[in-house]
Amino acid sequence: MSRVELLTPEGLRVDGRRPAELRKITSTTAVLSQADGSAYLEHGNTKVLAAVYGPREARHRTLVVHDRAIINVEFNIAPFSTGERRRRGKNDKRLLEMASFIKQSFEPVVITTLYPRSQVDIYLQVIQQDGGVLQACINAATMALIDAGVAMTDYVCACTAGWVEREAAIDLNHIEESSDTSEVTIAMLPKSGKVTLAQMESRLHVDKLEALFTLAGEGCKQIHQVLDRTIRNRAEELAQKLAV
Amino acid sequence: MLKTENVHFRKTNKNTVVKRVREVYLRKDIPCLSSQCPLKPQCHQKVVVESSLLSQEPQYYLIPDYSVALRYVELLEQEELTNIIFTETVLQRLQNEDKSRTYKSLRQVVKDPRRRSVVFSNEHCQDTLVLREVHESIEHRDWRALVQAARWYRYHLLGKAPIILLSEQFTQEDIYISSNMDTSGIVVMSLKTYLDEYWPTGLVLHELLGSLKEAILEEDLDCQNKGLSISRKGSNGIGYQEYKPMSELEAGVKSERFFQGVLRVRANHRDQAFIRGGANIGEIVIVGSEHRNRAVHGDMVVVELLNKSSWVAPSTYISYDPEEIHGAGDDEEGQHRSNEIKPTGRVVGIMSRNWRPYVATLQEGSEKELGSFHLVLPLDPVIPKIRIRHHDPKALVNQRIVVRIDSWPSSSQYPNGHYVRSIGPAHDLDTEISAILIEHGISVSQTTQEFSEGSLREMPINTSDNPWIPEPSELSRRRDLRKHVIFSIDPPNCQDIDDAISIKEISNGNIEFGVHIADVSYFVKEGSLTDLEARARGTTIYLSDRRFDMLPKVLSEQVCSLRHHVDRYAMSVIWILDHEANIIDAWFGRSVIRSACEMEYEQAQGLLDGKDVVSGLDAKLCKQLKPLVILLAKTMRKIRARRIAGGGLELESSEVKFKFKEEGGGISDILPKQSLEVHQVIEEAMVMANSYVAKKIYEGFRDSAMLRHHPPPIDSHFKMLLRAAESRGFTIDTSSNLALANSLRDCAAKSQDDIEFVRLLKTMATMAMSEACYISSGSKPINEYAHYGLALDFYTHFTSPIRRYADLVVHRQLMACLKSTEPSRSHVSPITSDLLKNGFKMEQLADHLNYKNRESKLAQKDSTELFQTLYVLQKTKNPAAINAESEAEDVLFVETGIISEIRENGFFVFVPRFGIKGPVYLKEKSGEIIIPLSVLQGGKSSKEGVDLHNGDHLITVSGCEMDTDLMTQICLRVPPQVLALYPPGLLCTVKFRLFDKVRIALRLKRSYAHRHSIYMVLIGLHHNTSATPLRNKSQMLKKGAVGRQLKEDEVNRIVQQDPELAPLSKQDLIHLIQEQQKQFEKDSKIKRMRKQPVSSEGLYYQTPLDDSLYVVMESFDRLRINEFTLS
Repeated sequence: MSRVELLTPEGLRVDGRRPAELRKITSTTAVLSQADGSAYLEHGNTKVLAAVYGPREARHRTLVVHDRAIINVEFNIAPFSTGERRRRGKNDKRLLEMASFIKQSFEPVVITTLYPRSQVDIYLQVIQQDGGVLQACINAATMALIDAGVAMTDYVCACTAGWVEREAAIDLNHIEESSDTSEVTIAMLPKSGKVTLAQMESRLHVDKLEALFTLAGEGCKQIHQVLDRTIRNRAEELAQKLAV
Repeated sequence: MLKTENVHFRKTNKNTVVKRVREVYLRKDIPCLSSQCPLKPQCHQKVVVESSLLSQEPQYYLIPDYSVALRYVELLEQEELTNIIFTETVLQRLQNEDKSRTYKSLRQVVKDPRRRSVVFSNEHCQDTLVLREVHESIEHRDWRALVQAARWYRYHLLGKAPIILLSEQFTQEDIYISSNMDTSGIVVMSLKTYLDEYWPTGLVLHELLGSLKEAILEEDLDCQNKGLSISRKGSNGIGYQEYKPMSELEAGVKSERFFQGVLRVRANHRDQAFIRGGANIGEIVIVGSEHRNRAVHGDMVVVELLNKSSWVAPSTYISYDPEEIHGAGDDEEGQHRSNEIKPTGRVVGIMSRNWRPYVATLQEGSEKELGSFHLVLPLDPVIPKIRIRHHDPKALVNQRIVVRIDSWPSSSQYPNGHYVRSIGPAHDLDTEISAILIEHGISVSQTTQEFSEGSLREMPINTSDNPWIPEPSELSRRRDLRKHVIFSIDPPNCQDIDDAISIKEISNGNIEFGVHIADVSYFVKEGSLTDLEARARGTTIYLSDRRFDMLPKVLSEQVCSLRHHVDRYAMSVIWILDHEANIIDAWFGRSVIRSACEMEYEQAQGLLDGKDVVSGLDAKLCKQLKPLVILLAKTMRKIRARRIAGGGLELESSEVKFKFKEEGGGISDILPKQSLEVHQVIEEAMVMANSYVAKKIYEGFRDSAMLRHHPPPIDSHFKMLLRAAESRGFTIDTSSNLALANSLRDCAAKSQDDIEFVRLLKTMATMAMSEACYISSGSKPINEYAHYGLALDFYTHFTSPIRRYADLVVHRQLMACLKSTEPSRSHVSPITSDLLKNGFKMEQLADHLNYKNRESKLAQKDSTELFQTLYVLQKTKNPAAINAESEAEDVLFVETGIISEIRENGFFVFVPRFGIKGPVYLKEKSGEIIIPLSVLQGGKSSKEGVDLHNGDHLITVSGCEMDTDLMTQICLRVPPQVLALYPPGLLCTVKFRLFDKVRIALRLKRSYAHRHSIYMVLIGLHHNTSATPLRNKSQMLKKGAVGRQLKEDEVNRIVQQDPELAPLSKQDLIHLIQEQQKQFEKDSKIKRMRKQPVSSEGLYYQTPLDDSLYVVMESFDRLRINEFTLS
């Protein structure tokens, strides 16, 4: 039972990446026909499905805000998403917390004032987990929102960075996350460079924070390029269909 | 990048099987790390990588497989083998199978730049990944992966280097089976065939291979017997407890249920070990081998506390025999005496083993036993006996051998190990010195004084016909100080002169003062082979009779050494001081100097004392140097006074040096290190240069400056010092270094007549100090840089680059600060150039140097002890008796010593003349108390040493034959500073106080398995001490109440009255005591017969004292009468 060496002296991480390399990202939009917008996103082995409904009439009268739309996020992790099956109740505090993080990161970006008295529902389903669930969810939600045609000022791209052995590394996987690494997730608007979410749950020396932020920011920009390519491909596809 | 998945199943702690899926990214940019790489640019230049490279023109590259890496690490660690490619396949498997020790050793091999060995990440390389096929065994897949890696290297390097796959499992045929591809140029060899072919003369390698093979054989046997032993263990319950699983240990440590620390075994009490458990618990004591649970000194262990009822106080006995393991009895006795109760614990798990090669000796008599298992006794007493397997134990008798521990199964009393090699016959000087070097981990290359050819090629040439001279181009870059009068002051016959000094008065009363240090960094470029070798060595090691250099001789003794009358490069620091010795200006930089004179300390002192001519120097030179030396001393006195006013400590240690006979290799004398004023002057000059440079490099390298840090001592370490001072009525304030310095000076001033006391007190203060260490400035906050002992905010080592690597680093940092290194001259490789700036690497380097320094100091100490014992051996050996085996025939070797520490059964005596500290036992192991006659004779001891022989001066006061209650007649009491002795019947007390002077005889305890050790026998008191002399009370004798212990108040009264002694002759005394003993025996016999307690009245009966000889004689008469009546 020895501790795994997270970063070899040759500079390779457990899965063969170098510290500043992202995992392979694949994404598709419009995977569900029922939803107004949907996306499927893979960050390595972390797989997330996002569905967006709305803007539509608010479910409960009490929640209605007369000058803008409300965003409702429901977040769920499939029991089969890890090696050992684990069921989570609907009111699991961890799930609710994650949902509120996601909600917070989108509220300033979605132009809610365009849709008064309505609501936008974002449903997120984690199908497989291998670290970086929050970043994958935010990225998937962005894709689904764009797919649904909800007005936004920018993409919201999220990326994690953590301190692995003595170097800052990006996009941690499950093994790296679970061995006492300090990890920060930031969600960023890639065009303006504004940060809508910065989340960290462990202790980290303040000197090291800046390095992590810079690295995660660069990660967000890279992720933006990947997502943008998918969206543009999809848009071209649609345009061709219209032209025919 | 390609992506693949590594799917495997794993059993969890709860016995469920879980499928683990891991991503693996396959890369194209895995470098071959060979300097032969044909690509342009070479593939390792395209990625950021820190590694040594495989050499340019190798004979072959070696790729060991798992079977070799796992079991023959020691062989791979040998420095002869270079150009090894370790594959990730093997390293990963080692980690997965929890062989982290092996893994670490292999990593160490890769780290060592001299080995030119690399790690090839073949599992992440696109071209070399081999997936496991269905129904394929792991061994086989790994083998295919290795073959694939070997093929890749052949292909990548265009077949330039043949590749040897080392395997004990597979053979040449297996290559073709595993892949039907081109495998030319790849040879599979077992270690045996490899060594036979390439190292036919490498005796050490062959020997090592043989012993490793045997160890493996044994291991396999153990495996086969495992089933058997488990059932045996179940039946009789012998064995240690199994360790708890790692996850539980980690959780326990986090929740503070368990404590983690490095296990240290007390050298004088091998039954006791301890760990430092952290701030809130302090030291945790682990008593007995059962609780220690197979942990060995130096291991990182996890300890669980025992319940409070079993907490103990550490024992205060002096151990009688380093080879004897004390039972728990000692500790119980200690328990009710001391109130310093410490928590005890037991080891529940081991985080990491820290086993190293140990020097050991075969247990006496073991060679006669049948069977191939033998116990060996390690030289280091804190290491347990080790069980080794050797077919020919007779060859090992009386040899020092190197042994490694392999495992310690819970069913075995001793750890299992294997024989590595033999060093030589025990107690032979060279063997013992090699043993010291091995025990302190000093590398073979340093002990053989060798440098690789490559590094010797880097050296400048300096022969008698072709002496080295400075290059003209270099001269123009340096400040020319050849016109200055520069001189060096060193011990006699010093070869490596690091430092020289210049001083002169300039206009308006200012002084120009320069310290010039050999410019080693000019000759040893960062990253060069010599540099790497020197870094690995860390420091020059000085043993009492020899020296192991850090740098090649051509540098250390010739080109760098600042010899006189030749031009030498130097790093100079030149200050302009005003007449009050305040620094006005300073200049740093490279210079060229020509020393005018190599002075010895004594010569310099002579000049300082006002002599016009000193031996060894010509008059003209003396005339020139004398005013300079005097000016230097005057200036340094001012600077020193200022530093001491700021809290600098003046400490002392008991270092000695040995004088050797010209021929025959004996030691002619031991001399304590002298302390002349010149020593202080030079020291002060060096301190000044060091601290000044420290400030400078800290300005240049905020977070990676190599500084020397001396932490303030821990308060509890002062306990001994405080108590010692208290015994003389002094109080010492330890609140700060200034307070400590002041109170020490106060003590010294008040007891000027007793120089030895002051010295001992200072030595005690030195012992309380924490160890100074190198730090990288980034690793500690700025307020922790200070040097406590010297009372300086910044300090570093700058002045001895020939013998310390740290100084060399400081030189480079200083040069970088001054920005005078021209880029054209530095051919520094990109791998190491950022070392100076990188705080993390600097910290690692500092740790390495600290370790090396500590080990070299310990080696030095060991060698001093070795020579001290040799000296005692010489002195005590009776010239008449050739057979010096029996101790009784030894010549007495009498010296004066001071009691430095008092224990329950004796005390430690420090002999300042030789710097030896040794135990004096007043109570033998059997419980008998031994007192020298002269002590009883009191002040008459002044002449005793001359005519006493063969131990007849000792009187054994036997108590063995008596009832236990009579035993209490002899009682050792331990008030903290006084050891009082109440001999039976004589009704006198002998008190030993701390710092009392005693006469002792040095003796040698011969040991079979360990080094000989010195112990001492009390011969008498030094005459001007105040031991209470003999007092005779005839009445007590008459009443037959001999031997009863006097009450404390009575004793005190006797002491107060303290009349003149009764001038008893020696014969009288012996007679008296013999009489009394007879009396005792009879007494006790009668008592036993009657089975009645002696009536208590009269036991403490006392009459006024009468000290005349007449009374004593009378008492003899009465004794005789008593005897008659009793019989």
